[in-house]
Amino acid sequence: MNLAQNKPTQKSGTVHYDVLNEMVVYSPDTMQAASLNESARAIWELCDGTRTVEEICRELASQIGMTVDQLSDDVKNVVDRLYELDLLSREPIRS
Amino acid sequence: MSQSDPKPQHLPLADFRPLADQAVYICFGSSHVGLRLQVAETVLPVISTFGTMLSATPSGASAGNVAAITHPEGIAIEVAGVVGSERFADPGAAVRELYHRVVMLLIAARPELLWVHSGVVAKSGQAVLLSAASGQGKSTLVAQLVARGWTYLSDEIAPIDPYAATVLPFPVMPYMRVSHRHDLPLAEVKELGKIPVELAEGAIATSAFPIAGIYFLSYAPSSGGVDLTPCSPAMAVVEMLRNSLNPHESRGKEIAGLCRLMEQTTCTHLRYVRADEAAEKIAQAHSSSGDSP
Repeated sequence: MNLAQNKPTQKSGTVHYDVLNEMVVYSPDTMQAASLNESARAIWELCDGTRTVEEICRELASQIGMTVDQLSDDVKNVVDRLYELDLLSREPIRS
Repeated sequence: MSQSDPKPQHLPLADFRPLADQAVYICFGSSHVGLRLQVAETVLPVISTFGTMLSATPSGASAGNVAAITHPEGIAIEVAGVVGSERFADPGAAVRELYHRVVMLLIAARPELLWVHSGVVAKSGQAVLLSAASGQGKSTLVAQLVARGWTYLSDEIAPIDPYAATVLPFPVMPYMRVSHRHDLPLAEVKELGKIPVELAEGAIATSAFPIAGIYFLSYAPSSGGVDLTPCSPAMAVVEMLRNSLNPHESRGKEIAGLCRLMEQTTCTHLRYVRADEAAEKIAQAHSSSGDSP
C-alpha cells in the first residue's frame, strides 16, 4: 500500500507513557510495547489521522528547520515500523 | 563463560532440616507461602532451591499454600484453593513446578511490585540488576561479583518497588553453569550443568537496596571483549517488559511504574563473551573508594 495515500492514525486502544523526552507506546490488543525516541515520538504525535506522511514531513520540517527531503526517509521508516508493530492504522484520504 | 572462581563450596542453608510432611514456609518480606512436603524425595531439592528463604515458622501474611503429595503416578503438586494438580515422576521436575507455584503466589500477593527475571547484587549500599533471558549469564555474573565481595540479593528474580526505586532480596540458592570454554554457542551454554555458588557468611541481603543501575546482558560468543552501550529510558522499559514476570492484565500499571523507575536509573546494554571481564567492568563502574559492601 502506498503510504502517501493514507493518513496514519494511532490505533484505537493504544496507550502511551512519557519517559523524560521519550515515550513508550503499548497496545493492549497485541500486548506489544515500543520505545520511541524523541524524533519518533514527534512523528507519533502527528499521526492523528489528519495528515499524510508527506504532510507529517512538512509539519516536522517547519518545526525543526529542516527540509522535507532531509526528513522524508526517516519519517517513512518510523511510520513503517509503527505499522509493523500494529500501533498505527490507515485512515484513507477522503476527498 | 569460563572462570576459575568462584568455587562451589558449602551452601548457606536454612538453619534447620525439615522432615517429610512437616509444614515449612518460604518467606519473602511481609509474605510467606506454606509448603507441605509429603514426599521425602522433594525435601532436599526444596532446601537446595530456596536456601535461606526457607523457615520453620511463618512470617507476615500468607500468600497461599503448596503441597507435594504422594500420588500413584509419582508426585502431585497441589495449590490450596486450586482444583486439580500437576503430576511428576521425577522429584526434580516436581520441585521446579513447586518453585514456579510459590513464585506465582508471591507475585499475586505483592502486585505493587515489578517482578523481573534478573540477577541482583549490591555494593556500597547500591544494587545492580543484571537482566536477561535464560542462558545469557545472569547467574555467572552474579557469582563473579559475589566472589568480589558484593552482596547477594538474587540470581533469578528481582522484586522491584518502582516508586521507591529499590529492589528487595529474593535470595534463592544461586547456581551457575560452568564450562572451561568461554566461546560456547548459546545453545550449548543452555545444556551445561549447574553448580551451587559459594556465599560467604553475611553475603546475603536481608533488606531492600536502592537501584544504582540496570544491565541488559547479551552473551555474544562471536564478539570480542566487553561492549557497554547506554540504553535509553524508553528502551529500558521495553527491555524490562521482555523479562517481566507480572501478569499481562496489570501491564499498564507495570509500564507506568517502569517509566518512573527509568527516569532515575542508569541503564546499559552489556555484550560480552568472558564473564570475568564483564564482571570487572561492572565492578569498575560501581567502585567507590572508602565504602564497604
